[in-house]
Amino acid sequence: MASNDALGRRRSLTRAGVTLLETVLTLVVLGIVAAVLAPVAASAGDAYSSAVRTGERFEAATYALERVQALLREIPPGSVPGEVGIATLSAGELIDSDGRGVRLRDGTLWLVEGADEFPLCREVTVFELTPLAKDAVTDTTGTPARTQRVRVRLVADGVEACGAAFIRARIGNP
Amino acid sequence: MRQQIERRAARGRTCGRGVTLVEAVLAVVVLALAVPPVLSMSVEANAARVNAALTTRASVLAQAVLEEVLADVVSDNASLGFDALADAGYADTVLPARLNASDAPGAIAASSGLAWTLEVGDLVSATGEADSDAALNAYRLVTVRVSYRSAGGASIVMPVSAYMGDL
Repeated sequence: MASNDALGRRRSLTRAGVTLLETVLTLVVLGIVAAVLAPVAASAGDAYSSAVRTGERFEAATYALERVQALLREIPPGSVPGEVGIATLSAGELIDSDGRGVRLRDGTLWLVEGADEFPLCREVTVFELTPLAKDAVTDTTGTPARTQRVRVRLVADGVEACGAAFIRARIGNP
Repeated sequence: MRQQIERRAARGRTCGRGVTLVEAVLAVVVLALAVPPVLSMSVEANAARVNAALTTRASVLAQAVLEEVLADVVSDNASLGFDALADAGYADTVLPARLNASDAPGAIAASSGLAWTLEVGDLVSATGEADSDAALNAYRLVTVRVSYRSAGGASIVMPVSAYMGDL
């Protein structure tokens, strides 16, 4: 402590404050450190923001897929035994006999509830519903009432999600 | 002590003692030591995020496979149904051929580095154990194993099981 005080006093008497040389040296050292750290910091920042963005897109697509699957599972039984109640089935659209369904229009996937529509997922470029009969092979697009399971594939904002839904009304009613 | 501080403060004000080179360099060194751990934390957070997405992907795939198996079990098609589950080729050939076809869930998951296998258990009763009364053994444990590599390169297997019954 005493030597520090003595040093401080001597320094304060001879040269007060920071010299230009010291300032420049400090700046140079700071510059070198910054130059070494900048690429690391930049890449970490980029990776983080792109991961956040990818995560958000991925969650949006997965959530939309799950909502569609839940809807397909709950398709009601049809009026004829052995059939299911699908009122409309075309490319990018499925409406059941209760008026609930899903529809792709203007790049947005909409949940349909009677006359109302609710946006489910935006920037959807691909939305494919492949209705299959109980043999898992025959496409039932022309005869939707014979559908037993549906494959769903959607691409939203570049994220592809794919799932399958088995229509529960088929249980005990094969 | 207090006097000393006051004296120092007074000297600082009157004489304008600034920051020495040693102090400045020390500050830079402390910063250099403190910054990398913070950056590595963000890298770890990234890996956690990627792993969470992979886990979701794996569970979506497992669900798609189980959904397909359930649809097959309930089907009264001659080549499907509950009895077909135990066929030698079902888990190894029939289902993979269907689910790994292009645009099917298996193929799309494969493009993200996920692979799956199906295992069909023996006949058991509602208790989960084989009963001496064969008529009660009407269930099979179906297990989907989705395997993938985590962001850190570790090999991960996610098993998802469900009991399928002779409905």
